[in-house]
Formats: sequence, C-alpha cells, structure tokens
Amino acid sequence: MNTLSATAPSKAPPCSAAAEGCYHCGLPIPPGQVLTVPAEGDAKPVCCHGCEAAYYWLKDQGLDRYYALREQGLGHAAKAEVPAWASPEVAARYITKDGEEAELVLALSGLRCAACAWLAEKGLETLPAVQQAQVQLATERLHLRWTGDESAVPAIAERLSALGFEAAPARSEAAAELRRREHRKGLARLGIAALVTMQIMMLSLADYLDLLSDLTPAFRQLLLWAQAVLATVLVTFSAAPFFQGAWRALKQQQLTMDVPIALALGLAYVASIMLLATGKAAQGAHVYFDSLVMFTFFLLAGRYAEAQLRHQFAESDPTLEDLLPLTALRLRRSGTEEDARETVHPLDLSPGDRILVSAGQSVPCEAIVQEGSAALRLDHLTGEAEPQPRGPGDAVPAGATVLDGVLTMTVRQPASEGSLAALPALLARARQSQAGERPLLDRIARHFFAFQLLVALGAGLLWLALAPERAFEIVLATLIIACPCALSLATPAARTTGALALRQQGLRLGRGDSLERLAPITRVVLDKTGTLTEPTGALTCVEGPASAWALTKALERDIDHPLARAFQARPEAAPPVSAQRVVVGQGVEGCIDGHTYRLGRPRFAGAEGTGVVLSQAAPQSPSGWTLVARFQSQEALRPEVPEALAALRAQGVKLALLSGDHPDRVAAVARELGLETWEGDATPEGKLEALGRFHAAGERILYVGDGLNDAPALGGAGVSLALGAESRFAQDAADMVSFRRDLRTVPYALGVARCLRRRLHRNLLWAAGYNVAAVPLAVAGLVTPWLAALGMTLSSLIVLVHAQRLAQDGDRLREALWKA
Amino acid sequence: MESLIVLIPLSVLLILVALKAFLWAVNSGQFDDLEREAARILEDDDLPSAKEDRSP
Repeated sequence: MNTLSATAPSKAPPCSAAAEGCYHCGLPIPPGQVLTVPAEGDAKPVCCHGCEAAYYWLKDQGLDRYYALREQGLGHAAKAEVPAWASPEVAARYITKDGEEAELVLALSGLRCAACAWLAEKGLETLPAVQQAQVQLATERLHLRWTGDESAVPAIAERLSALGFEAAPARSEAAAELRRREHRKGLARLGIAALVTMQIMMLSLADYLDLLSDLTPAFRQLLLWAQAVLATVLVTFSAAPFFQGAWRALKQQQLTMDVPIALALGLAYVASIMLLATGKAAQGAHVYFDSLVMFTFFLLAGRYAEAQLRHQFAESDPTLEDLLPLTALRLRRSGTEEDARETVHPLDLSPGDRILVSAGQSVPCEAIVQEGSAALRLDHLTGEAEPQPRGPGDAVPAGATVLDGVLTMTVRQPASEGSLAALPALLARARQSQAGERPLLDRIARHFFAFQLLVALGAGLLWLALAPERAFEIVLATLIIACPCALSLATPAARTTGALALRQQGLRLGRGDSLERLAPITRVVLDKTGTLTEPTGALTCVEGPASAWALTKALERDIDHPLARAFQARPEAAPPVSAQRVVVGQGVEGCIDGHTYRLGRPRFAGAEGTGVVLSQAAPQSPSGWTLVARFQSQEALRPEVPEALAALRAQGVKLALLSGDHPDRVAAVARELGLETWEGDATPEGKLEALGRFHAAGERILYVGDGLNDAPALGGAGVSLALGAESRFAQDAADMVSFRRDLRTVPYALGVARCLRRRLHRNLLWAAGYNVAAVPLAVAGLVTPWLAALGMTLSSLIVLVHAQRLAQDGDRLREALWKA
Repeated sequence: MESLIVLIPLSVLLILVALKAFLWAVNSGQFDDLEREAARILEDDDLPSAKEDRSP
C-alpha cells in the first residue's frame, strides 16, 4: 500500500487494494460486511449496497471494462506521457508566480461528471507541493496553486495524464465567460418579456373587444390585478437595465437614452398601479400595462440583436494567445549528425531558428519553408477557406495550420512581431480611437434627449391647460414615440456589420471610424513593391561587373536563405572562400583571395540605396568599404492587380503610383497598368509631400502600401491601408490592414465603406423624418401610448434591418470581385 | 363565470412557474450554443474505439 501511494492517489480506487478493500470504490470493508460481486472469476468483496448496485449497473451496461481500464490507468502511472507544454522552460510562460507560490489554469478534457472532477482534485492534492486544486466542471477548467515554480509542472502534468485527463494551459477565458454571462442575462430578460407580453395581451383582450362593460367591476378588477402582477415581474426583472442605466447616467449628471425610457416605463407603471389601487381602473379608466410591456419587449429585442452581433464580432477576434500554438519544436544542428529537437515556447523563437511543424499544428511565427511541402489553412487571418499549398522557399504566416505533411522552416520574425502580433495591436488601437470619438456622439445624443424631455414636458403643460384628464396619456405617448432607439441601435449595428463583412475578406480596422473616412476618397495612391509587384526570386545585376557573380556565389556557399539560393543557382564557378560569417538579418562576410567582402543590405556593406550590395573592404575609404556590385531582385506584377485596378476605376476613383524604386522600373509598371500619374525615386518624406500635393488639390486619398518604408503618418491627408500585416507600419499606423495580400481587398473595402455610408445616411433621414412627422401627432393627442410603442418599434425595426442589409451588399461585392 | 375567480389567479401562477422554468433553462446554459448542441447527437464520442483513435 505504501509503495503504491507514491504513484497513485491514495483516495482514488487503488487497484491492488481490491484484494483487501471494496472492489468498486477501494475503501476498506467494514467489519461484518459480507457482500460480494462475481468479478474476474472470483467473488470480490464490496463495502456497501451502493457499490454493489454500481457494479451491477456497469456490468449490465456492458461497461465492466471500467475495472480493467481503471487499473491500467492508475497502476502504471510511470508510463503516462508528459505533454510537450509541461517542460519547465515552456511551462514557465503559462504560470503566474506569487512569491513562493505558483498558479496555473488548465483546460481539462475528459471530464465527464462530478466524480471525475473529484478524482482530478484529490489526485493532484496528494502531490506534496500542491496547495490547492479546484475543478470547475461547467467550464472544464482546473485552477492549480502550489509552492515552488515551473519545475513542479512535469510532475503535475504526469499525474493528470495518469488519471486519464488531457490537460493544456487554458487560453483567454475571461472575456468569453463575460460574453456568455451577458448573453444569458439578455436572453432571460427578453424571453421573460416575451412571455409576459403575450399573457398581458391576452388578459387585455376583453378590454380591446370592449367586453369589459359586460363584466362586473369585481371581475374587471381581477383581470387588471393579474396584469399588474405580471407587469411587476417585467418591470423589476426585464426592464431593470433601463432603470439602472438611467440611474447611472443621472448620477453622473448626463442624459442617455435610458433616461427617457426609464421615465416612460416608470410613469406608465406607477400611474397604472395607482389607478388600480384607487379603484378608478375598475370604473373604466385606462391602464397602460399593455403599452408598457410591449415597449419593453421591443426595446429588449433590439438590444439583444445588437448584442448578438457584437458578440459574434468579438468571437471572431482571437487574441495572440489563442492563435499561437502552445509549443514549438526547434531543431538544433548538432554537427553533421541528425538534428536535435527541443520543445520551446513560441515566444522564445528567434530569427534564423529552424523549426519543425507537422500536420495539425499551427505555425508559431513568420517563417520560410526549407524542406517539405504541405497544404496550409490560413483562414484565421485572411478569410480564405481554400487550403493553400506551400513548398520550399515559400513564406508562411504565423498562425497558419498545417493540414498534411511535415515542414521544416526557418524563422523569419519573432512571434511577438509577426502578423499575429498585429491583431492585438490593431484591436488596442481601434479601441483607443473609439474611446476618443465617443464624447461627440454623446454630445449630440444628449441634446436630442433633452429636446425629447422638453417636448414631453411642453405637451403635458399644454394639455393640463386644455384637457387635464388627457395630459398624462399624451406625455407618455410623446416620450415613447420620440425615443431615438432606432438611431442609437442602427448606427453601431451597421458599423459592426460592415467590420464583419471586411473581416471575412481578411481586412481589419485599425481605427473605429476608418470605414467612414474611407467612403469619401477620390484617389488611391499605390506603392509598387509588395503592393503591385512581388519579387520572383531571381536576381539581376544592376551595377558593377558580371564577374561579381562568381564572388557572390562563393560568399553565399552553404548558406540557407531564399536570397542565398538565388546566388547559388548561378552558373559561374565559385572561388574558394574563408572566414565566412553570417550576420543574421544583415548579410554575409567572407575572405576571397586575401580580400574581405561583404554581401547584403546596403548599410551593412557600407553603401547607400536599395537592393543587395557586394562591397570590398577598403581602409582608405570613409565608410571602410567600396562598392563592387549591386543586385536587384526581379519582380513581377501580381496576377490580380489589373482586375483590382479596373474595379477601382469602375468605382470612379483616380489612381496614382508612388514608389521609392528606380524611375525606369516604376515607369515600366505604370505603362503596363495604364497609370498616368506616377513618381519614382520617392523617399518617405517625398511620398508624404506628394500625398500633401494631392490633398492640397482637394482630393481625399487612400494610400495603399505594404509599408516597408512607409511608416510616416498620413495625418489628415486621408486613409491608409497596409497590404500584409508583418510590417511595423501595419501594426502601428495603418488605418486598415489587409491580412490577405490581395489588391482586390481594396475595391472591396471601398465598396463596403460606400454602402455603409449610404445606409447610415438613409437611416438618419428616415429617423429624422419619422420624428418630425410623429412627434407633432403625439403632442396633438392623436396617438395613444400603445400606438406610440408600435410606431417606435416599427421605425427601429426598419432602421435595424436596413443597416443589417449591409452584409448582403458585402456578399454582392465579394461575388463581383472574386468571381473566378 | 365564478370559476374565473379561481382560474385567472391560477393562470398567473402557471405563467410564473413557466417563467421560472425558462430562467432555469437559460441559466443552466441550454441556450448558450444552439448549433453545437444540435450536432452533439451525431458524434461518436461514447464509442470506446473512437476514444482510443484520438490519442496517437
């Protein structure tokens, strides 16, 4: 027994204890107990009738393999596998340390029932270091606290897997939990409002059909009290958020939409109860329970629809944590022998590392395939559902999932800087900008609510003078009918729908109002490299003698890099090279024929300009190097470019090409694409200046670039869109980022933005027209409160549906642009 | 007619019970994910062979 407890939790059913303990639960047999069950060809003792029943139940269900499985599971804990994430170096990324203690939240799978949860908790608490293990069955989360640090994690993971649970560090769960709770509350409020509304309508039927006069006052009173009970449920539960919101707003001395709503609901409820209590209702005075519940129900329905949309949006927004795989497999070259593999956390990878990603796993960072080919799914960022094939030399974005095959890759960018990192950066920026724009919307709205309250007050005073008995009804009708719910729901709904439509094509917004600023643009200014063209991998020598090829081939010998491979592929014979040294991200240095050469980025090789530069050490020159040759990678137009430009022209925008490249090359591209306005040799400052000139001529500009040198802020000159998310420009400055390197996303975004603007304008017009028409009617006493509630609702519904149709606009645009 | 004096309060009580039942259903997560639950019946989760297949 003692030896066993080292590997198995003492309270869980120990296998060999079956001889002395209960066959089912493992507890000691109480003295005098003679119950047995026929198992394993023998009569095994059980401790109680409960265990006996459990045994027979399992047997009847054909589940008695449980006993065999249980013994395998617990008795051979040493065989249990420790998952890769549990190695101390990796686990250190997932635990939170608090002085002497460490905490870890794990997602468990394999939890079936409360007994499983119990087993997991007790099984872990027998480990000496573990202070507390708590399982939340509903969320399948295990909260662990222990003394020590990450070195205890392997033992914990081993124990869990011995117990039969699959565990992995839990990802961002708090936000999802919050959304789930909000959804439940909203649904409960809406559902109850719906039930109550139907019942009150039914109870009011006698009133509507004018049968009440046939009833005795006692019956009438009874029907009305029944309504009052139900309305009380509704007001205290379903309508609670309106009252809370109004109270919060008033405490901060502000007016929000909740204030007039709460006022209308409160007035209608209190007045109806008063009429009922004083007996006036029984004599024929009108009560407002029906208007009250209908109003609440429709308001809640609108809010629920809006919240659903918001949640859908939030759920399609994974965090960096969610997208990164838990672990990465790094290959370490150990001499000429087979590569050693080590498991590391994705954030610990650095450029130049070689990693291995096999089927089912996702790529932890921007990488280039070295060996192997596979189909990859990239839909998390680009929205492309089709698996994309990738082979040696191809770049793979972080977060892509390998569907088949095994890829050996070289890390290009740390995981914290790649396109995955762009997501949280964009989100944070969009949120910040939204926080900034809010006050303006609120200010306009506040005026409107104040106006609404004043009109209601004025109508009340007017009717007090004319016909005091109708004053209350008219105030109520005015309050309800002028409710700007339509607008305050429709605007965010339209924006969210628009952002969702963009996201499906891999476009994300860096600012809350990017779409609205995109709609009025008149000119699209395009960058060349990376936007219209992409490098083909082949190189041309643009400066220097042809004999330089032999030197470069020698310098790049045995180096594993796409560019190096292009040099190695040359036919020239390479002279011997010594003292070869690679500077990661810069270039290569080596000694040929007694001269030291450098090949790589211009600055690394002591030169100016662009391209790849070969230079020779020259102590007498100021930079220490003299230029020998310069190479440019050849580039080709991307296939979708002509189609995308045609779509943009059809949308009526002017085009311009602005590039830092040599004017001859820029001119060639401009000619091929029929672009009349172009400029080459533009420095970042020069580009900004050119944009400023367009701006001064009264144009609104959309700048599209992949932003390698294009970080300068556009300021008020227009909107910017980054093609590809790896650059700093995309992450820090762009108003929009297209995760899919596809120029057609530009006309798509423009189309969606224009549809959004059109729909918002129409909605505003409709809402204003409705108020202008309906408010005077209400003040004139021509609208009863229930009619007002119906009118307000219909108006909201029309506006909301109209805004949501933006999704169909997006579908149409998509079909037109990607018809192939 | 007199039966209404009993029946109307009774109907209100019944509705309150129905509301309570609805609240319970919502709070126990039955409406959290309508698509996922509909697909659950199609899963082979409870077959022992399927379980062994999953762990490589």
